[in-house]
Order: sequence, then C-alpha cells, then structure tokens
Amino acid sequence: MTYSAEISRDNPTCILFVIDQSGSMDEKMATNKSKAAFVADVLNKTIYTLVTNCTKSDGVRNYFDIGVIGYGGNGVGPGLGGRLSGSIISPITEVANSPLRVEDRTQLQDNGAGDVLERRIKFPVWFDPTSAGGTPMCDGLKKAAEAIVAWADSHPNSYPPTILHVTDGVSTDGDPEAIASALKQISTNDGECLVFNIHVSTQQGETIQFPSSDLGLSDSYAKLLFRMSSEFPPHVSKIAIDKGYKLSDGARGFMFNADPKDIANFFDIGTRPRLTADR
Amino acid sequence: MATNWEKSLRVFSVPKRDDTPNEDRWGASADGRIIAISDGASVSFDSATWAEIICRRFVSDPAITPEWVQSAATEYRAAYDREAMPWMQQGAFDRGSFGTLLGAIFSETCESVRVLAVGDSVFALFDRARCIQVIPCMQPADFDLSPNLLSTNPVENAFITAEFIASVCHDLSLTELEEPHFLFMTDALGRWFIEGPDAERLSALLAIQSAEEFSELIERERSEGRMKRDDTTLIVMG
Repeated sequence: MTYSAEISRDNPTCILFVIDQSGSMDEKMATNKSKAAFVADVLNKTIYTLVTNCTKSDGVRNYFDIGVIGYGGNGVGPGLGGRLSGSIISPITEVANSPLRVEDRTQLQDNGAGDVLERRIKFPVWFDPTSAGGTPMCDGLKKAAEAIVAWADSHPNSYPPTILHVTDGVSTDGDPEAIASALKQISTNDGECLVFNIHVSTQQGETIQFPSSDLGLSDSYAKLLFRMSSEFPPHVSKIAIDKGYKLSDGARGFMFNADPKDIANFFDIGTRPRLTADR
Repeated sequence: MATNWEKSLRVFSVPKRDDTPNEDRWGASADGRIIAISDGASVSFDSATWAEIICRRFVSDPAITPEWVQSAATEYRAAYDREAMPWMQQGAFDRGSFGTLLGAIFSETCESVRVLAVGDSVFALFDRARCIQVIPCMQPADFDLSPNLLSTNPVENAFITAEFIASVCHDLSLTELEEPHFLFMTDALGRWFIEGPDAERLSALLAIQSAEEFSELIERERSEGRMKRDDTTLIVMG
C-alpha cells in the first residue's frame, strides 16, 4: 500500500515549498497584504507548526526535511536565508535552530473557560516576502526536481516527498508541464512524489478547490496547473474533507483563484503526511 | 461473590523502538479494583508525563468530570516553566499533550465493572474463550481515525462534557461469568486483537507469563506486518 510508510527519525519525509516571487506577487489581497507577504506569513506559520509538531520536552525530532525554493526576477535559488542558504533542503532541527529572526508578538488565546487572554508568543521568521521581475517557473521546478531526485535516492524507504507550489501567474520561461510530470514520477519505495499547485489571486471570481477533472475548468492555465497536480492519497483527502471541502474520487491537490483562507488551508492540508495516525 | 481473578494482575509493556521512550502508562489500586491505562500521543510535548498523571489520578479518584480533567491539566502545566523555554518548546507546550484513558472500576463485591474509554485503547472481557464485550466497539479501520483524547490544552477539551463522559461509560454485569478474563490494551495491540481471530489471539495473550515472552510475541507480529510498530501495553486480569 502506498503512502503508508511510517514517518520517523530513521525515515523522515520531505516537504519542499516552491514559491513564485515575481513582480505581480506585490498586488494586494482583500486582507490588504500583498500576495507575497500573505504567502510568506502562511509559510512561516506552516514551518513553525511543523517544527512544534516535532518538538518534545527533550528537543526537536528529525521527522521532516524541509526546503524552500524561490523563483522570480532575482533568479532561482534557496528560499531560506542565513545559515540555511547553502542548501535547498535541510533537516528540521537545522531549520528550527536557524530562523532569520524571532519576533515577539501577542496572541489572543481562549483559555477554555470562556475567557480570551492575551499571551506573549515568539514568532520565528524564516522567509521574507520578495516580488520582482518575471516568472521563471520552469527553472524553479527544475531546481525542485534536482533536489528531490537526490533526496529520494538517499531516502528509499521514506514516505514520498511533497511539493507545494505557489504561483500567481503564467510561466515566462516555457511550458512547465513536462517538468511537473517528471517531478511526479520521482519516487521512493512508498510511492511517487506528490506535487500540489495553488494559484493565488486578487481577482474576484470562481475558486476551484481540489477538482477531480478539468472538465469544469474554463481557463487553459487552470487546466495546465490541474494536469501538473497529483491526486490526493486517501488520508490527505480526508484532511481536506474534515476542513469542509467537497471532494470527489480522484481529487487533486490543486486550487485556482485561491483566497487567503484557502491558501492557509492548502498549506495545512499539504503538510500533514501521516506522523502517527494524525495524533 | 468471591473471586481470585482480581488478584492476578499481569502487566506487560514495550516501547515502539528500543531507542525511544515508552509513552504508555498504567496504574492500579492496591486492591486491584481500579485499573487505568493511558496511551500518550506522539504529537505531544510530554505525553508520558500526561499519561502518568491521568493514570495516577484515575486510580485515586475515578469519578471523571470536566473539572477532573482541568485539574489534571493544571498539575501538568505547573510542572514546567514555560517562560524559560525556547520558542519551539513553548509552541509545543502551548499546543498540548494528549492521551487516551481506559479505566475500570470493579464493584466491591466484584459483581460488576464500570469501564470508561476515552480514545482508542481497548478493553475486552472474555468468559472462558467466549467474547462478552469489547469497549470501545471499533472496526480495524477506525484505528486510522483521529480519536478523542484528553489534553493538557483546555481548548482541546471542549468536547469533555458530562454527557460525553456518560456516553463513554459502560456498566457490565459479571455475576453470570464462570472464568472471566479482562484485557486492557493500547491501540496497536487492540487493533491486532480485533483483527482476530479471537480465540487464537486471546490464547496467545493469556499464555504470556514474562516480559520476554511478551516482547517476543510483539516483535514477531510487528516484523511479519500484523501489528503496527507503536508503544504496546497489555494488562491481563484473571
């Protein structure tokens, strides 16, 4: 049975984020934040959640290898800076120990007794928003493929890598479909790499959420991203259904014209491979 | 009703791996009338400590209420200095620790037992080789779902109401039983047991007399793919 390998320190899995940093990502969303800023915030929160899910009283456990690739007017390269800038993918313990900075924030928290209290929290930042230039999506996905091939070769028994690709527009360096197909065929003994694509937008319009076919898609670019996306394994479909999405058999990890809430959900759904029966 | 079975309590437990701590805990009153087992969840800050608190408190006071859970969580949180922790441990601490609770309270005459089951640890009552009751009632696929768990995070305990507690309590009569056996199992073993066959697996568990025999059985079943690799605990009474 595929997508069933235990995720452990001996057999971590890999989560790679590929982020569009083109100039149009500076457009403001309904939240009044730019797409780039919103995506950066969600990415930082996602990495925070992954780290804290691996953290126990005696330290951080290496259940994940994490990577970020950014592509835009400044080229293609590692999306995490500082001590992590030397490689695309790093063990989560290194990621935990190497944020760019840790900000002090306050958060309103329900204490379970009907009171909402203000609590001081520390918010680590690994990824700052950038938006400039064109959309070298093909180069970005090629860089992802190189990193993932090497990772899969050295982790043959692990749960397959998951790639979350965030973009707001059309590739400016060619047709990315063949590269995405090649990415999806990289595998471990537990199955093929999962490639999930989300198109983020400031446009008011119909949002496409985890379709199982491209028949209802009128936009040729949406059809392309659909073809580039992997089908959800059953346990990932269940996470999406539990969040209120309606899925048919064969639903793919693809969203088009996603709004802020969908972006946050996409990241959450895509970064919850089996840890241990979801506990 | 005079019995001897309440005196014969055997407990066996092995960790998921030799190099990882076992996060299952158990407890029993001196007279054997109150039993508790708790499976600490892996995605937790310190589930072993939480499971220990759950078992100790249940054995000393098995009358579970929402306030009981809150008090246990307060004890847990008081053991740590959150402000002295690095950010990742603060985040994990705030998210909470989680654990099951499977508890049993035998009446003074041992003519009945109340079983309380929060989560997916499994209780089974057999009379000779005949299955009388399995609590909670689960299919193998149910073990892949996220169970309700007691948490140190008050927000995560919102489901623990008086009605919920009543719904997870089961009262069983023992008066008609001739040779009862009571099994308490954490989920990997519980699932293996439910997947059956009943008689063969019951016989295998009742035959275990030592920690080594338990360890050998579990390792064999894990390596042959019949049992998930997880912390595994068995309490046998009778």
